[in-house]
Amino acid sequence: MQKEKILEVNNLKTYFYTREGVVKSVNGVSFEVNKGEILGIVGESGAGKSVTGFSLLRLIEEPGEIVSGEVKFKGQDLLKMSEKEMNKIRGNKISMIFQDPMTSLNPVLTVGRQITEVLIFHQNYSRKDARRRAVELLEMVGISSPEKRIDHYPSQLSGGMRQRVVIAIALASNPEILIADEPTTALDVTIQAQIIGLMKNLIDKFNTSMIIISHDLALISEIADKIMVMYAGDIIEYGDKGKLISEPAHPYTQGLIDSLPVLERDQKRLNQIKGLMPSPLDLPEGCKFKPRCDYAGDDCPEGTELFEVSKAHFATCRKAQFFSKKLMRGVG
Amino acid sequence: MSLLKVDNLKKYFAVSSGFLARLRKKESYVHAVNGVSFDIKKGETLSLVGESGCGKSTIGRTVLGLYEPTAGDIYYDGRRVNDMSEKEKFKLKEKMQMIFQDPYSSLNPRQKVKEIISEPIRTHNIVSNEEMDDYILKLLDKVGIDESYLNRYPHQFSGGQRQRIGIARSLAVEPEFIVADEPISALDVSIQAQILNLMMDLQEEFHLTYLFIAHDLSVVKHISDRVAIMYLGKVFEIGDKKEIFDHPVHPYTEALFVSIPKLTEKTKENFVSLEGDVPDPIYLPSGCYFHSRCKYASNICREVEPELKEIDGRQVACHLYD
Repeated sequence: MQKEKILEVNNLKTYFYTREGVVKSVNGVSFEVNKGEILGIVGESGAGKSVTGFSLLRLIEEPGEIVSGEVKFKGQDLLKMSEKEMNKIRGNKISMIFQDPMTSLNPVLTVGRQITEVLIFHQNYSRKDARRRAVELLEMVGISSPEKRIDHYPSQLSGGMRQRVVIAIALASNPEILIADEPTTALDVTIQAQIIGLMKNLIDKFNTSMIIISHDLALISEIADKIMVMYAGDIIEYGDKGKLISEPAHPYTQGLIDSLPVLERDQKRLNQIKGLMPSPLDLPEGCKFKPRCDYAGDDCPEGTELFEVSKAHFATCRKAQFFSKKLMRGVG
Repeated sequence: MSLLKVDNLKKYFAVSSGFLARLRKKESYVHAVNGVSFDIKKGETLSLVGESGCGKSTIGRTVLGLYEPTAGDIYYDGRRVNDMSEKEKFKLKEKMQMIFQDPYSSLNPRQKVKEIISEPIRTHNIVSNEEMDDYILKLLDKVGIDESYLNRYPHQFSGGQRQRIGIARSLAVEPEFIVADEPISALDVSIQAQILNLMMDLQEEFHLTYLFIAHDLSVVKHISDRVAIMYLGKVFEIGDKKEIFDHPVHPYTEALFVSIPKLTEKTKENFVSLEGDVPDPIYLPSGCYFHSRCKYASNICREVEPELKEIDGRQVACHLYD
């Protein structure tokens, strides 16, 4: 079966022009998402994962700017569209879920009002039909007694319920792509499991594509089909989930996997990645991970281009595989 | 003998209520801690684990005397803290220290590293002014901060480095007992491992006793000797780390374990382990606090509160094992 490519990003660059200098938050990333596929973007703070997500919908504000690149949604470059055309895409064909449900909901409007707004604006629903549909949507995201909840304000709901409402709003327009930026970071683990499970079910049901952004590699590994690891504005490894987790090629990916405390394994000390993230204003030339890398040497790749490690698995470096400690790794 | 003993600790917070409610003398309370007992031996690490609102941080702060307990007793080294004189309580503050969650808000932004660390040393007269600089440098060396950073301000450091400074400040008064409240949850993954390793090294070197508060079970497994699983201000299961992690007994512990994301090559099939939300701590449920979410709940669970009982080498509060 030929997979339908729904999003194609080419050499996207987003820079922030601050007083201290230029921060190259996203420094030429390329990736694609197929229909019904879940892409997970992983990285630590400052890796550029959220800025990548925001750039796709052109939500970058001063002093930031999308410098170059293409974001092709079903063949059309979003970066070349007028603001008016973009409004028809944003929150409609491509919608977004943010980290903190308290700040992404309007505290002075009822839940129902916030859902019906989308339906009326994007889908030409009448007010009455929109309300009926909103109740259906609330029920779909697992909110009990939706007829009552629809008239509640966000402050009357728990954190998990608020995030369910946010998902209902994001799915109200039957989007083709859902971008979720750390959707469960503010939630407790049992609630996180509920929300991730709910999103996965709905995505599968409607054959929607999803880009999920998180710092938690374990969480991403449970839900994504493809994983993209970012470090200081670059994609350093990208590809099929199974391969990336079982045979990480880049030393940073391997370091991330090894520094996770694993429940099933007894270990005296955790493996740690030495040092700190480089300052975004003063990035090293070439591989940005080099100063922290155990395998760094004269034979390091010069550029930051991804090359094929194996089928559907790309990385900017494959030294981790040569020095593989695979047997020690506890991958379940 | 245990270094710290907590006996049937309760802590309620009054919720500001309206004029009429006050007139009728009907105040409502958030029941943060509802009768918790445990002890910690010298050199041991006990972790309190649970989701937000389970009372784990409140216990940590009450133990340190930052909150006055509503009921119950705290014993340090065999002595009831309430029986101590003011002078003894001041002395106790030297022995008990805290490491905070947020390295951004726990350091004074207008003080240099040197001032931040020297303040508790002066307050408790640990070393003379002449020895001060040497002493601070030794501390910084222990936590892995370069001595050239002595005159820098907190904003010049990363989160992990700030947490190291916070740890140096806690160690400055040569404490025996440290409450660490989510010390790594604000840090990036690659830095978390560094701080955890540091805490374990320091524990060995200075024979520290830790009360470790966290929501992340895999971190807890790494650092603890014993673990207490909490829910709505109650301990549901407490015992040896190995026993609990190898074979969780309480249905809530089991659900928590299933919910933690685990690194995998295959997509997870079934995410949801627990339906619903934690009940409101103002209006506590009857019987077992967990019954509304528990798939094994029966009539007795709705009516009678279970007591902690010895089962399979640990203490569990659940009617399933009556």
